[in-house]
Amino acid sequence: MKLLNLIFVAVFLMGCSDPEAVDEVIVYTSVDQHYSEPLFEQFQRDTGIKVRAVYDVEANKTTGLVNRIISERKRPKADVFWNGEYSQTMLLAVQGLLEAYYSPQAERALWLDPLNRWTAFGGRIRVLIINPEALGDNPMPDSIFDLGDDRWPADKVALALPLFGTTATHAASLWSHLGPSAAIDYFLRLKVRGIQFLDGNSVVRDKVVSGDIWFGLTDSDDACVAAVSGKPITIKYPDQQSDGMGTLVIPNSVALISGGPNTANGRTFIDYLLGKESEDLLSRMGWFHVVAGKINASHDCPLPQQIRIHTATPAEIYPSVGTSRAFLRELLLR
Amino acid sequence: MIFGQTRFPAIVATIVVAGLVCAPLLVLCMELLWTADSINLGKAWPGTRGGLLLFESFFFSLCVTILGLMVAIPAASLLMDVTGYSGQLLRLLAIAPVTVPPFLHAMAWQRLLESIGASTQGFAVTFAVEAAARLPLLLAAVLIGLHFVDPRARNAALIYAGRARTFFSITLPQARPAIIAGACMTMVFSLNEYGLPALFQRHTYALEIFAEYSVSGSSVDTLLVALPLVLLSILFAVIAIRALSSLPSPVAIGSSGQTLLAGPWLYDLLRTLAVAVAFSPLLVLLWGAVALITGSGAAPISMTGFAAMADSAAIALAATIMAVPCAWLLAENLHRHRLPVLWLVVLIGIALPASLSGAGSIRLWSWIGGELMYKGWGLPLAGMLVGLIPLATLLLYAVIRNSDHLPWDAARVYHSGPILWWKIRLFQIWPGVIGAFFLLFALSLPELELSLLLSPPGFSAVGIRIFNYLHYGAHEQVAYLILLLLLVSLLLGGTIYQMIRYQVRLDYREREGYNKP
Repeated sequence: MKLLNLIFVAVFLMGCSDPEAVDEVIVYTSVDQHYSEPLFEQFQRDTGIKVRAVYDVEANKTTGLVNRIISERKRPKADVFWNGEYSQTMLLAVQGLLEAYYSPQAERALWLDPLNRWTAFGGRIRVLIINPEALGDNPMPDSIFDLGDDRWPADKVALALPLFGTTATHAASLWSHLGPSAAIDYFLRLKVRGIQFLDGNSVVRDKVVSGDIWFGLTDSDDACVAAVSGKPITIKYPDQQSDGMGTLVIPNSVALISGGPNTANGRTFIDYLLGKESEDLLSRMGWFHVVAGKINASHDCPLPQQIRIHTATPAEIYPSVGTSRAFLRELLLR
Repeated sequence: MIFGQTRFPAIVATIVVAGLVCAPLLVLCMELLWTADSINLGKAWPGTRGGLLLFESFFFSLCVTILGLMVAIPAASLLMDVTGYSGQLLRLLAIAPVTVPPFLHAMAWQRLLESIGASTQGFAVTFAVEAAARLPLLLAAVLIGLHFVDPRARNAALIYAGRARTFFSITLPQARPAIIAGACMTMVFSLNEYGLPALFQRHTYALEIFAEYSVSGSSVDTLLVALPLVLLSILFAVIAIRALSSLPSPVAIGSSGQTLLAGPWLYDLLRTLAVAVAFSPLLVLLWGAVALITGSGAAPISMTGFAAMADSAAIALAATIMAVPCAWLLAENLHRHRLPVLWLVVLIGIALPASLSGAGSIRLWSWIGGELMYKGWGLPLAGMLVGLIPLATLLLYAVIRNSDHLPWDAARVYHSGPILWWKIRLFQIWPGVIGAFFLLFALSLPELELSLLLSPPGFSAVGIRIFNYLHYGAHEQVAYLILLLLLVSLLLGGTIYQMIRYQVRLDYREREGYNKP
């Protein structure tokens, strides 16, 4: 029995042991490991500060890390939250979990929180991903409103379930831009028409690549993965007409967690992340498609260089996030 | 009492283990009470839409389980008839996909359906694919159930009745407890699944929980929304426990399988078809993986993929090694004292969704101030134990309850303390211990939700790695990881199966020896 107790305690202590105590920063990130890991390695090389990262995944509806930070509020473990979009970061700000920090690099940012609790930078674009072969002689879509147009069969048109991630933010932007009444009409139209609401933007991409879906709405990083690997798809920015509302840019956001264990290193990391070197690296890898309001051309993705950007700011969009999700949950989760 | 006469340490240990399992829920409940003024308790009532969604989820899971059983029972009956190493290998291959997450099963099936131009939408397709993904677990439950069938009763029945009649009137009733328990656990897992149905555009009540999380960011609100699902899960866990209470002694494992006598042609045809379907999860996964790898000409699995697999295997192993003794302790206490509060602990552990137990674990250890827990594997280990201990407890309780108590009581006349425990009890419940070991390891290896919430910074879990690969389109890397998961499952399953066979064959021979004049 004593032997069993010894084994039991040894296994537990082995699990609890501190791997190594070093100069470090703990970063929670919802940015794909594929893109964020090389940046962490470069940061470590340049500054000597070790990055210990925790990642999120799309399959968990991007709720994992935010809930982890909220659960850890009594004893924060993260120094920095680097988010692939901004609405969840703003939720943390509203809950009082972020510390104000104005980075010297903040002038490069796309948007700043008035209270400096978060910085929005870089960015992906909401795009139409089209399979021209599957589309055949049918007209080429050029607007998000084409998803609700009967010129295309409903079962050949898709977008991700607009309750989570960037699609939820996009839905909130429609609430903000069109007004609740028009936005509700739009989504009712999509629902009644019977278009496909899929389980994430990468699933929309995969379905379009396979030809099962003719076109769909997704993020530029998802579409570019397919384009760069030679898949037969076309990428278009929606609503680029002179009177169109433009397409939504979803910036990354970064914030300092209040009371984190390595706040000074957290600030250093934020400065580094907002800097030119990081911007170049993330642009080359294909994570940033918009830099300083212009299309990034430093990677292989065939994105059109001319773009008309939807003008709503995160501060204008965020108040609609709750109401839009509440309505869409009632409409779509059935 | 376990540990011989030393009652006090056993009582303390039991309280500690029970506390470990239900503490996360208690923490969330305490928070609920503290914030009761600002919480909308009405969220616990699902309303019309939520109620319909819950009913549909229940109906969906029920269909999945019934369809799975319709395949698993005839398939297992034929697989049990195949003797020797080929039979063992076939049974192992059929249950090997149990380690692959359902979402990956779904992706492989979706790819197959698309390649043949079949529909990938609708209730029928979704529930057929989910049934296929759950089939390995159900098949394992039925195979375990058939192992408990007394061959003497079967052989006696065969003198008077045909094979089909004997199977339905003698074999199946004896295997029923394990089959019911397996079906109930499949119901619990299926009710809490959201990824696979969502891939086929079916929404389940489990997705409602994430929608609440996403909007409110509140674990307490989410707990209220999850309450109907938790209660349903508890109901099925209770049925599983009641079924396991009537499990017969495992006297038949040591006996050789039946010879392949011809039965009614329809009976044999159905069984053959069922076996073909039972292998479909493995074949579809292999087809998907091989097609991706050969089609892309991709490099073999990356070092980061291997590192993630090694990290996850290490933590799954540690969690399993810790969970099984804890479960044994609870199972012994349940068997001897039948304390309702311990049953409640087990039920809570089974029914609480992983995301909520993770959130509760973080709050708990933040309050306790266990800084050490955050440095290494402490927190994910503690979180995993919440779900793993109750599952293993169920299994071990069934084995302990149905073991022969005569040797134990006889030995207690002369001995007490650890020797009794090692020499007698471990020998009696060895199959349950190693069975629990396999089950827990298989479930915790590809785990995703707790890994996201509780993994220490810098830790690379294979579940997270798989979904990261999927997101940026590196499907071939996912294919390699699936093959690796299947290999781990086969190696571990093979080793454990041999150990069970060896041990219980000894047990069987000893029993036969007792019966000799």
